[in-house]
Amino acid sequence: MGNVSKDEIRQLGTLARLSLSASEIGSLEHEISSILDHMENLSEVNTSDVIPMTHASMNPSVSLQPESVQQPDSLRPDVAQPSLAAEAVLASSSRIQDNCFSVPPVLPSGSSK
Amino acid sequence: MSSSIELSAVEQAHKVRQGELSASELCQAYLTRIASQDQEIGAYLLVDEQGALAQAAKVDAKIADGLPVGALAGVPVALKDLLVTKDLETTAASKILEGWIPPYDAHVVSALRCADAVILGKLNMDEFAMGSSTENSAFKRCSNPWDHKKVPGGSSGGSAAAVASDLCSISLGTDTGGSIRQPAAFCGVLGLKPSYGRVSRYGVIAYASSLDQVGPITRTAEDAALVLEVIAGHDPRDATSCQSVVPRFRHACSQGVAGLRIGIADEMSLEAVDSQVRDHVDAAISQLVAGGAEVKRVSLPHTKYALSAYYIIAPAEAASNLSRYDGVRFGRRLADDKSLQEMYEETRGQGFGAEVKRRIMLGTFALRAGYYDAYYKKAQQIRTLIARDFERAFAEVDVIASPTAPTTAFGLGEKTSPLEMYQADVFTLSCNLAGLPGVSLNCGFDDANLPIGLQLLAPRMQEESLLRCAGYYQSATDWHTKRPG
Repeated sequence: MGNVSKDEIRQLGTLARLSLSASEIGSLEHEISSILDHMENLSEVNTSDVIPMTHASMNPSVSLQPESVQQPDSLRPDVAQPSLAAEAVLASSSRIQDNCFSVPPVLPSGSSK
Repeated sequence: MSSSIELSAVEQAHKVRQGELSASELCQAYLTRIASQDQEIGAYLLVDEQGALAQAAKVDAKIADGLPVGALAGVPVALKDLLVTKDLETTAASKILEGWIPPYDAHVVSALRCADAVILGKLNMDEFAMGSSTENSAFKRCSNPWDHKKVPGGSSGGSAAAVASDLCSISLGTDTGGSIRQPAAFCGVLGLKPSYGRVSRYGVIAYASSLDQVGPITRTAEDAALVLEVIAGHDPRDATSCQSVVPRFRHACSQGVAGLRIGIADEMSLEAVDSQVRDHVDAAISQLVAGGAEVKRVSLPHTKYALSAYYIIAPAEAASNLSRYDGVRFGRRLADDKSLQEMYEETRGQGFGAEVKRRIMLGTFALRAGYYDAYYKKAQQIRTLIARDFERAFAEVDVIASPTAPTTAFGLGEKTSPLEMYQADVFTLSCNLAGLPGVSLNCGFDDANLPIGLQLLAPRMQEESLLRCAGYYQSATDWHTKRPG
């Protein structure tokens, strides 16, 4: 574990779609490194046979599960349900066109297939 | 202060229902108080005066017409601004969502409306619920009602400060790692984090989906029980919401604690705990023993790893959840004349505050190809061990008692490094990792007259044990009746 470099911070910024100023990159380098240092204590624990707990409804040992706890149904029947009107949803966007969300061009202008 | 404001929510609803108190007058009394007091506290981000008065008038009209009214008839409530409200600006205290008017209500908001509650407005918080002091709000400072130079806690700081200073009767907060319980402790009120799955998160802006829960902040245990009865229950719109029956939580508040087994974990009696906090928590446990409870030592050996596991899991989930804020579907957009990637980066880079960016970066780091096993998977495995510790402990005891936070409220601007701030959550995080319910209630004051919180945790879906303790404790002591001067 341990340190991250300024270059790694820049890469992470790109992955996370965040523009970062030079001073932000400097402070994130320092802060993330010190947080990761703190997390090194996790390597003390042997977890080789431990099942990862992906959500809090999961019971780490089923035998101790209280009877009153029922697992949620993760899937509902595949039946169409009423949903919000398109106009109501589109009204939240700062730019719409022809009843669609509008975004800057994805392909450079002049490009064709 | 109007005397109706000093009543509990249960009493207010009763008087409104009986026609002894007008919902409109009650609503106006709170609005007047907000207008005169909130400039100093900073609990509200938005006050919906018109909407609240209209809702109160509807309740009064129903009563005048002899129609049935809901369990929270006329009770003025306020909502953490993480809860989506139809036609009412919802920001998560972030510039990126500034001006967003949602087209729907969160499940808990619909439930409050169905119960005839009156919604006063939206409350201040740490941006996207990331923080322990409400200092990460993008819009305004929020002060602790007991000492305006101290923080109210966080992230539901506005929710706790509003109840403590009588700027609403009850409020809702959310709790991902302690965000209901820690501000409740700092502000001297009661905060209840329900079990994971107990309350639907439909319409709750997501921070870390495997940890988030919504719950009440109130003055009394009975009020918290009443709110929980209103908001709990299965909702098909949240796949994690449990189908378990919702008990009559209010009944638990008067059951007493005779025979209840209270666990004390050595791992939660750290030396870092302030001595006055420790003394008051010990005295509160003695009070429960005087009521007939027994005390046992239990062990939670993986507690010391909770902070590290939490600050991998929560940021990883946040990095994923917050990817939706890209300027396309809601919120403000910057650099619209540049490329798509630049538009995303500028919108997000300018729209998010420092702590949110820090957690997105940390989460992106932990989820990166090649690092996933060493961080995210490892943290999830530690989470299993923490949950198993609790299961073993709860085979011996009904609740586990500890301080809610190691200290009383700290000063505004006092904690300067992220890690130092994260330590404020050291006793509250493991509850969320294990999906347990937890409560914090006021158990006294330190020499500086700052409130001290007692935290109680119970097995999943056993909120009634928490309410038994809280109800009994409040019947035997009067800390919860104290109000800031």
